[in-house]
Amino acid sequence: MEISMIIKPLLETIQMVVISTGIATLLGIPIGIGLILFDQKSLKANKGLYQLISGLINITRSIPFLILMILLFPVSRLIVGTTIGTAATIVPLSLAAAPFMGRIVEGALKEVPYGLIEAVLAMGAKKTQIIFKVLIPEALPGLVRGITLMMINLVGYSAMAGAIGGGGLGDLAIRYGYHRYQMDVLILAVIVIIGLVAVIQSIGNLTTKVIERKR
Amino acid sequence: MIKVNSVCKTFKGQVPVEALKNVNLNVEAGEIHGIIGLSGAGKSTLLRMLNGLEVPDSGEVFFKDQNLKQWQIHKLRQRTGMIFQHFNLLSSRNVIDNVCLPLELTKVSKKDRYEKAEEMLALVGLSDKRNSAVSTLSGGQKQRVVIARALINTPEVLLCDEATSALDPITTNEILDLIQKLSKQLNLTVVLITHEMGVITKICHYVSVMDHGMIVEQGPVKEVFSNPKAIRTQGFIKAV
Repeated sequence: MEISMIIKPLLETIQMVVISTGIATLLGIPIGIGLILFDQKSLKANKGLYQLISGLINITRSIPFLILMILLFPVSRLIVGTTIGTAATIVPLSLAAAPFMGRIVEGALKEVPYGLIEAVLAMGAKKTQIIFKVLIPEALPGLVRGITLMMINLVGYSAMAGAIGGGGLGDLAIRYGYHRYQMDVLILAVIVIIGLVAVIQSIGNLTTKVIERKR
Repeated sequence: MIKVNSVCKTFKGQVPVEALKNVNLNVEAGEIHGIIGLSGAGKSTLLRMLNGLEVPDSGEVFFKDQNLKQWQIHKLRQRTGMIFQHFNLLSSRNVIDNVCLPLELTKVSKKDRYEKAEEMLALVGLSDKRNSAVSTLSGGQKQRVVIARALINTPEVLLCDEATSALDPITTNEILDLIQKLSKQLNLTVVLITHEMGVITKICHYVSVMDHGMIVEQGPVKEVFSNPKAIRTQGFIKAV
């Protein structure tokens, strides 16, 4: 076994996780804001819309990732022209993580005390100003913690995707470790995944600490 | 300046709560008007109605002779400052950025809002704390920042929601002196709610005593407290 054979899959995993996190965050933030806005005791209460968004999130999150990936093959083919490899895996990874991110955003924004919202409303703020000048900045440490959690979940999902043609460390571990009985490759892939998770968690903790130190 | 006519408010829920019952209030320009009552008397609901944070079920509220329904609510709120018991400062901003916030909402240029914020911090005696994190301030300092933030828009009315309840007696006196000084200096109308008689006697010109959602007594502070008619007012005097 050559150590160099781990480099390419590692870079592929990092690529999948980072790009999916970016897309899921971009999709998840509006979902979370929607949940907060339409919640019963909120700025623009709308029970029907809240339940619709919440229901869709629950359905998406209930589907096991491997099955979701298979269901999304046509979407992957439509967007990137293939159903195998790193680029194809980014599509289901992003779509699986976006509802999770939506819940993370909802939870983090709900932690902001209502008194703060009311104080800014009393200054004459509009709803969009409340979101961008109060809710998101105040919830930032919680959001960073949530994004870290999501990235770690995505490392796990990306490894699972290896079972059905996704690239990265999961693919390496399954191809060599499982199909060719090369246990050393399997163990090395697991060690690298553990290291990757530890690095992501450390970066998340450090970022949160920097934000909180200024407060 | 402020007129409240026959206002009623019931909070619906499993057990509906009648928070205000046919309340009338008149606050003249430049006056410091105190509203005193026990917890649950309806004073917070009444105060929050003056800037549209609560909407009455019936009755009318007027600001400068214009019904609140005719005001664009955010425009009205930009002309009334509000301060709170629990400060409600944003931890994501330092002192000066908290003070700037109301001007940021009205899209005043950065240079102008920082100039005005410096002026307000000097007025409340906190120029040296401009770059501090709000978490490093004492309760009294936080309330001074809140006052600076509430006044940066040069409002005509300052609404104080139990502004000194979380402060020790010495800091309470300092904050009350500051409110009184600013009221004179800026010709500011102040409406404050409290459950402490000392706050009313120290700075208010007029007082309204609330009990179970009603104003049970109203008038100049000295007159009301030297000859209390309502049982609730007598209770407050006995308790001192």
